Amino acid sequence: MPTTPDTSPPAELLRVERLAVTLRGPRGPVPILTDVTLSASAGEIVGIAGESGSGKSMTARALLGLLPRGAEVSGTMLFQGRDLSTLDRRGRQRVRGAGIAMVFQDPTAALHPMLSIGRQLTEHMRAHLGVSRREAAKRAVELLDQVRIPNAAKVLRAYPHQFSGGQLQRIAIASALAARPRLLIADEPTTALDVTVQAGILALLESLRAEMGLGVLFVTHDLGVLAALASRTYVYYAGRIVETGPTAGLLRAPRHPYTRALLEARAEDGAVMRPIAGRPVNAAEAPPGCPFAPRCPDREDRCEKSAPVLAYDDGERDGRRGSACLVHGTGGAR
Amino acid sequence: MLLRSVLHRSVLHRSAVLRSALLRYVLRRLAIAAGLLLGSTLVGFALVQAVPGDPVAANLSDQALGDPAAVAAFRAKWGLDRPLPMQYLAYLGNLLQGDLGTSQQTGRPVLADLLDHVPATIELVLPAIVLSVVLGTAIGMYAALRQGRAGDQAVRVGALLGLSTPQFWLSVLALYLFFYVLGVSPNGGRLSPQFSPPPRVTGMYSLDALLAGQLDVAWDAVQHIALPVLVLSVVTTATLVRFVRSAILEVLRKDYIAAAYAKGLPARTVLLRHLLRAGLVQIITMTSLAFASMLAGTVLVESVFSWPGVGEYAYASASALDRPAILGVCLFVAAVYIVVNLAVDLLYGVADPRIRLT
Repeated sequence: MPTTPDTSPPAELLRVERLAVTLRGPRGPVPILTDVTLSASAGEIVGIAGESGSGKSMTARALLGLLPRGAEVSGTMLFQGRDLSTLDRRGRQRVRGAGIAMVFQDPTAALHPMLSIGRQLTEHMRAHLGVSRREAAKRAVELLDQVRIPNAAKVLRAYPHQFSGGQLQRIAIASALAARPRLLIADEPTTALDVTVQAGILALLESLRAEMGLGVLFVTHDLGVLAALASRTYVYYAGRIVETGPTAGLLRAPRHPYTRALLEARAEDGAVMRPIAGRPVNAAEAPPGCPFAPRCPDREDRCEKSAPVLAYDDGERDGRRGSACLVHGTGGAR
Repeated sequence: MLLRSVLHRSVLHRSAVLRSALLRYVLRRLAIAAGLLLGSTLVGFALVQAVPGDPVAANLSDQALGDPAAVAAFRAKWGLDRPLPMQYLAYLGNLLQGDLGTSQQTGRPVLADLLDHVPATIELVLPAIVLSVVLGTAIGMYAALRQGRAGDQAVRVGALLGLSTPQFWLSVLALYLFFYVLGVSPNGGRLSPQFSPPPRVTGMYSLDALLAGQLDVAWDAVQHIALPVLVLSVVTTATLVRFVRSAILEVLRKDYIAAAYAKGLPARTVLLRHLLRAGLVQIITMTSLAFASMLAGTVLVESVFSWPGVGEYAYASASALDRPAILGVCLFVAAVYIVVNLAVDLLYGVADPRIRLT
């Protein structure tokens, strides 16, 4: 194993500070992400939860530098100590795949239907690692073994339509790992799969974390999935983070009314499902003040006037609870 | 294990079994093709009969028309005095022996006429289709990648112009500009008068001249080809640009393209390997359709450029109601369509692993 110089003691991979993204709309810039601050370390699975349109996937795209044309990005995105936004095109291209890799929601759509599995597993390996065709094929077989796909040698010659969704997601994960990335962004990787298959994929991600020290950003709309998986969780609403903290505590005692509402909207163990009133807003539609205020059961007058910021317990950030709520704010504010 | 059995079957398919299955497929398609050709002779024969006009009047001089004996002799010579079903059966009988009949105009066997005219047309259509596919794909991809921007707008306007320009007008305009005004192009025909056709191998002058080592003749032939090829390519290129643009736009939205970028592949690899490959099946389909319309276009372009190809032959035969010649052209066109369709279906199987020919 070649030793890479560790910049910070807990091998922090990713540190995003005050990230804001706006897209170009027909009537001027449209905010997509506002003041997003998050971090992830090697060997850590970090959950990102929120409804569709909350900016989860845009965070992933911003990290990969794959935002639509005309997107404006501000704030810093430090990956292994380097600011991604200062890299040139070649530099970003090198980080994609070899530094940060991505697994998509629907594996049947994320693999090219007309290219062989072998080609899709090795093409970026060869571009990033500079290995020969033979070495790449050998490594591809190892990767398939690692994601527990049998008959690896034959699989390389096959095409995506010959596999089931669960198998394809394993292959997609193998492909994401091919160029030895340090951080894996998994964008709802189990949403399109059968429940029984989901558990296998989650277990696979957990084992990759443990064995390879892979950092994982696990994006999901399902807080429950994160319970057993993510050490820390960020809850998104309307393009900003409304609550964060160690997953166990966050799920046990959610502070932000939105997090609470999300948990209550999951009917489990015969509990009555309580859907959240109103409909989710995206960052562009967010009202002044707290974006959740119109749907919030605990709303007060001040919520519609001033926007809460994410405040952390004890003024510390890492590993602490934090929530962006004027009513149920941080420690003792309730 | 399901996976194993699926793989087993697929691997088998891609080797030995594939070849014999492919052969069976091609043979079956050829058998169907024979039926199609038979059908096209029937339709062609019926249509020729349905056209108002009398081949006797079209072929005999006024003086001969006044002479009942001459008219009767003409009708007897071409079998026009027999009932239609008998005429058709006789035609089929001759056809099976490779006899397409004799042209009333040229007095030569239709087959010999076709063998003279077909290579001339191929010499135009082949370069034109290659040029159209290359240009159409490149420009269409460029426009799709610049969707909504100035480059895209320019391409879309250009494609619309190209599509709506009548070919005969474009032919005349091109001749006027490049021959009359600029003087850089010859004035129609296949060769300049000082050259004689090269010894026949393929019937295509440019190729035959190269084979015979007559570089000056080959260059002269290419100069004669250039302008009609250009004119033929305009409409086809414009059609392909529009189709390729929309096909590529559709592919651009796919997750697997985002995934290819997310893997850190160079943009060139994503474009050529992932994007183009995904659009390939559609591009093949469009090309075959464009090929058909180009064949129709040769009729006008060949008459303007005095190009002795099938289009010109078809035009001349139709004007003279030369029934054997018209039927011969029909058969040729039908055969071209059948071959193109078969080639396209075979290419689908190569381009898309999900398509299996059975």
